[in-house]
Amino acid sequence: MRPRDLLLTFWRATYPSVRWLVGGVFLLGLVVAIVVRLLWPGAKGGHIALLAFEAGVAYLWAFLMPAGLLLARDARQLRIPRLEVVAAAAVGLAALATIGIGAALGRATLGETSAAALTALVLAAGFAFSLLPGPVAMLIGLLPAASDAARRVLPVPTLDDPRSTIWWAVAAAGFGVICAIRWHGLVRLEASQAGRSSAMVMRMRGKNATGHWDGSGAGIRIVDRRRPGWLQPETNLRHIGPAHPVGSLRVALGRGFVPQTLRGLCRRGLTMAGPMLVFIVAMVLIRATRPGASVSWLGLIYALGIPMLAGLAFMLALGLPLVSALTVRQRWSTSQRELAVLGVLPGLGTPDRVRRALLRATLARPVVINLLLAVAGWIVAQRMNLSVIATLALVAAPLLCLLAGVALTLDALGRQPLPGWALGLVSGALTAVVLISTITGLLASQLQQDGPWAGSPVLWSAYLVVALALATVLGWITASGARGMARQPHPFLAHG
Amino acid sequence: MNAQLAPAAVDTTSPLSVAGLRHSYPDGEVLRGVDLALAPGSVLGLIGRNGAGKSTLIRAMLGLLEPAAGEARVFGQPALRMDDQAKARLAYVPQQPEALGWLTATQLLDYVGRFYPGWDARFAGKTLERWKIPPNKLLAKLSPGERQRVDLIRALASQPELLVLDEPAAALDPVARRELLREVALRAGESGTTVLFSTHIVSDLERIASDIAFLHEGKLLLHCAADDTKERFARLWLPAAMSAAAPAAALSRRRHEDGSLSLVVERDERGQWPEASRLTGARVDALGLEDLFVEVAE
Repeated sequence: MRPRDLLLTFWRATYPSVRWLVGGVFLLGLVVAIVVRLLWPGAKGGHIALLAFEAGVAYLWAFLMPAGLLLARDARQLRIPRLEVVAAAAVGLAALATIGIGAALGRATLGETSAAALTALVLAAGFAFSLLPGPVAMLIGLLPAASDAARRVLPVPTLDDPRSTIWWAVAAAGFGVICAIRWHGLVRLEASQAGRSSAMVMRMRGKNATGHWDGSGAGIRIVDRRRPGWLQPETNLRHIGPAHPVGSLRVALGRGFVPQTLRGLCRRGLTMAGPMLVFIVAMVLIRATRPGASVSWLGLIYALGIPMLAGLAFMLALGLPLVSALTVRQRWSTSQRELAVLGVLPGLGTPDRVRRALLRATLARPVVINLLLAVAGWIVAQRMNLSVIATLALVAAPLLCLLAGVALTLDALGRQPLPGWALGLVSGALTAVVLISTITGLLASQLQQDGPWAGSPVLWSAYLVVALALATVLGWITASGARGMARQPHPFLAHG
Repeated sequence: MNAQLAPAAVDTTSPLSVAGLRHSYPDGEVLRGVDLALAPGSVLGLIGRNGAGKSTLIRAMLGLLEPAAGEARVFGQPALRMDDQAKARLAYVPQQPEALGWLTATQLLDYVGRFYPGWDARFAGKTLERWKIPPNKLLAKLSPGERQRVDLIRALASQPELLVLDEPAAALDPVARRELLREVALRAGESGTTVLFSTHIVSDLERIASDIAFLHEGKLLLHCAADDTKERFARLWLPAAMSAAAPAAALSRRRHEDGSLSLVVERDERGQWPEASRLTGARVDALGLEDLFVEVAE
């Protein structure tokens, strides 16, 4: 088989949405690396370029290359000759190609060998992430912080240090061995045991198809099925029935909409707080192991609390409307599942009553939370005496998220939802705008009226233009979705 | 022979009827002018090959899909604008019973039961136990057969006057399939429930259907009483030399390598086979339901 065909194996073994998303992220990393390298000569530019490329490599190897494993498994299960070997060879060749690109990009800064070793480490860690059980895989994400912490007590070299090469090479080899062992085991795993496998790639995989593993939330039903019992939501059916159409619809919408019992809510809170606790422990370790540092706990809480609050606000403001709208979009994509039950369920009332209940069920939380965040943003801006434009950024972000939630939900409930690429574009622009606003929150002290960033009109004007353009687009989507929804004889008609 | 007639007006006395139904997906037309009405108390078996349009037809009949043309009515009301009273009289089991996987079987039945005035909670509980469905296991974690049975319990416990089942036996083992058919026959016989069920398992049709509708490539090729099919339809074989005399009206027409012709023909109003059947050398073979299905669908 020709090398070109081997490399195309991954392209052919994944869904178009997966390969475009993951391939796009990798290419973005590569393009950023090349542009930075060209525009910013010198060591610092070189490092940033290499890090941008390595981020793309990590994503590629965590979410696209595992398709090779799924292909090898299928080949073995279906007794297709040679294909298992082809899949393994494709992974090997892709690894060599990735390392080669990394070496070429890092030649001028780290040197070919060091850059190759770093790329090998990143790709092996990314690949191991998909092959390892969930909790272990999550720890891989903490490796950079752990390495930083270890530097205080162990002779771990820095990025510039030539001794890094051997560290990276050894770590890459270690991950390589882990990947080989996991590959060997997962390929041979019986079909009956595959569902219970804790490997990330197996848990997220579609039932009959290769390539649901893309980190984008596809294959949610499979995750629902394979999630252990203690992680499943505990539905509260207390206020359900014809007298409670909103609650009843929330049960039918599933996922985050489902009203839960107190115990279910506590469990959910704990699962969300878990990763945060790991982060806090890692940060405390970093600070505590700093030589000669006197740890001020108040300072530590402040240093950790502010970014965490900002992160939480970011996730709530952006995540809640987007996830809600995507869930609705998923439910309305087929008339075979929940819509088949809801469409003939008596007691929900007239189509207009159902529409109103549906909008309350889907939009109440994203709207309320974003309104609260907008008020909080305004209060923070007033307390910090921020410039008018920075205040606007802090307040506009949650309002834009609110508008996005309404627009994308109405779009999902309307007749013809936006195509996937348009949805991606809108979500991407929204993420960028909200990210800038979150950073604004984090750098609040720099944005005071007499601060260094307060009077940067070009930057803020660009931000405002993007935000206004986005608001216009979202307004158009809202109007179009509302018209489509109103024209339907009843709201439980699937798309297409 | 509905498909050969001009589009009929919708039958408002029928529990479930459609007229002139057309629908397309991006890859082509799925329904090409379907007229169909179920008689009250009848058990209509909708048969057709995979992709014939059975599920689309059922969804359009129940107002779960807006057809490109034509009209569907449920208990005389437009299917797309049914009120709660009409909905309370019908139950539907879709082909893929994958809805509400985050609930347990007990929770699903509790949830759905609150909406139906005639909900038989005792039947639901007892059948759940009799069919050995784990009551507190999430639906997402049940096998496809178990989920299909939970959905059937959901449908039957609402005591519907109209029961619509889209390939209800697809995921069931032979024992569960027989139990389901017995239950459906019982409902139709004792309570006068009108039943529409789609399938491609001919033996299921023979067991319980009072009427049969055959959907092929988006058209309803025949709709008649199940007992009539053997009497009404037959295979007419004509040798090559006589193939020119073949009747124009035939449900299917197949030419063999030797030039001879096989046609599925129907008796006329006087109960006679087409004239060509009386030619010397022509042969009329009786067709069982499965043979008829295969002849027409091939």
